[in-house]
Amino acid sequence: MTLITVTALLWPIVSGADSFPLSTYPMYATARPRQGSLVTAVGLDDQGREIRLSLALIGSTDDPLIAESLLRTAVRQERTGRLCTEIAARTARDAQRHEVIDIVVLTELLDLVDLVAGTAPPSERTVHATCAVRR
Amino acid sequence: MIRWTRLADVLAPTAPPERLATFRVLVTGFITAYLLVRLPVFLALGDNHPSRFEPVGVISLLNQPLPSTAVKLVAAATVVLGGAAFVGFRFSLSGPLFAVLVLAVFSYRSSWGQILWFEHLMALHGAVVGFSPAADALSLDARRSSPRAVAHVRYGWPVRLAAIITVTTYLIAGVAKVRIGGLDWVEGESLRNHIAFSAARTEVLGGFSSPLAKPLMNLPWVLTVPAAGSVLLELAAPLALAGGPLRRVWVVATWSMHALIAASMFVVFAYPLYGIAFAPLYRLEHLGPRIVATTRSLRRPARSSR
Repeated sequence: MTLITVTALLWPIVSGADSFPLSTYPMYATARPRQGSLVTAVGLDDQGREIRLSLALIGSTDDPLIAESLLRTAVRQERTGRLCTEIAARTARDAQRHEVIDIVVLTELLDLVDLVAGTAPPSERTVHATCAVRR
Repeated sequence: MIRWTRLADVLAPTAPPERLATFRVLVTGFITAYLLVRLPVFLALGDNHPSRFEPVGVISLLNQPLPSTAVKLVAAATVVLGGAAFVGFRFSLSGPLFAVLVLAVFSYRSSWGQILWFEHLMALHGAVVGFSPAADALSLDARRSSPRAVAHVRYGWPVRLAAIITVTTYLIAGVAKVRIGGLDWVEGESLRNHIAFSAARTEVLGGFSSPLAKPLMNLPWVLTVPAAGSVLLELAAPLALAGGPLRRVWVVATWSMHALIAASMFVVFAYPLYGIAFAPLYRLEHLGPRIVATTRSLRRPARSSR
């Protein structure tokens, strides 16, 4: 039984298949460069000023990993329009975000180190979808 | 012949039923508490849009997501069965059912485009406990049965298997870093960039990043030791099975690695941080009496001071 279990656990190393509960455990395994792209959603007020949204509004979650995955999958599946509408609907129900009139789903290309260190230059952006917050 | 006997002793040692029973209490207690704390997340899985469904593991048997009501019922049933397995009630039924449902619920949670690696070891340990005679002591079942269970291989090998699973998962993670990241990973800059990515992701998504992240950005050399150390720790994980000082050093260092990850990236691997992942590396039958003795010794001075 022990031999079978260990063989099964090690099998993903050969097959390369990351699944559950057998995995290659690839988290943090890549040699990550300091530049990276992140998909996010931001709000805009009536002056066009940008307002950061919360994890709950963007992804109905408190986990950045899950929110990031939701956004990346939406970009990959080319359904950012619907995701934008979902975020707009959640924002419309949030009284603390009453100033937000539009939602923008975008990819930011960032120097991650500079951003966190607080010295980031303006990032390169690709807008995927824009939608109105209907109240 | 002697070697085979020794190998058998290592892989399937004789142990008192309390060793496996204590492991059952720890694993089922932790998973049930985890499910309860995160219950809103598990219940909300039923509301996810079907287009996001990317089934993994046993969930690959489904070609579409479960109805919302079924998701909620399965999550609730898993918690109830976790409680039954924790106290060792009708364990021949509650144990396997809990193990199967934990596998199903965790697999289902990872079936929405993001595999959540911190739940793998919990599911694997849950399966070991659920399909073993883990309620022959310290349980409601054991209270009703007689005679009292005695030391046997069947109480030793599941705990040993769980220990082997723990170190193997770390070994695989180490192999992944060497294969994918190579030597670049151990130079510290890559770890700095991982911390930066984690903090940046949290910031652009409206969350709060670790206050440690910013000062670490200009000090990649500080991270060289933790970066190289984490790869070495993961590759050396099987040495912990030898017990003694090797186990002590490995467990303390690996726990510290998780603590550093939690402090610098706000990424919490709760199962190892609470020590449950490392529990099967120890003779757990001593844990209960030690807790009782410590509690009594703490009470004594309090009484005498009255």
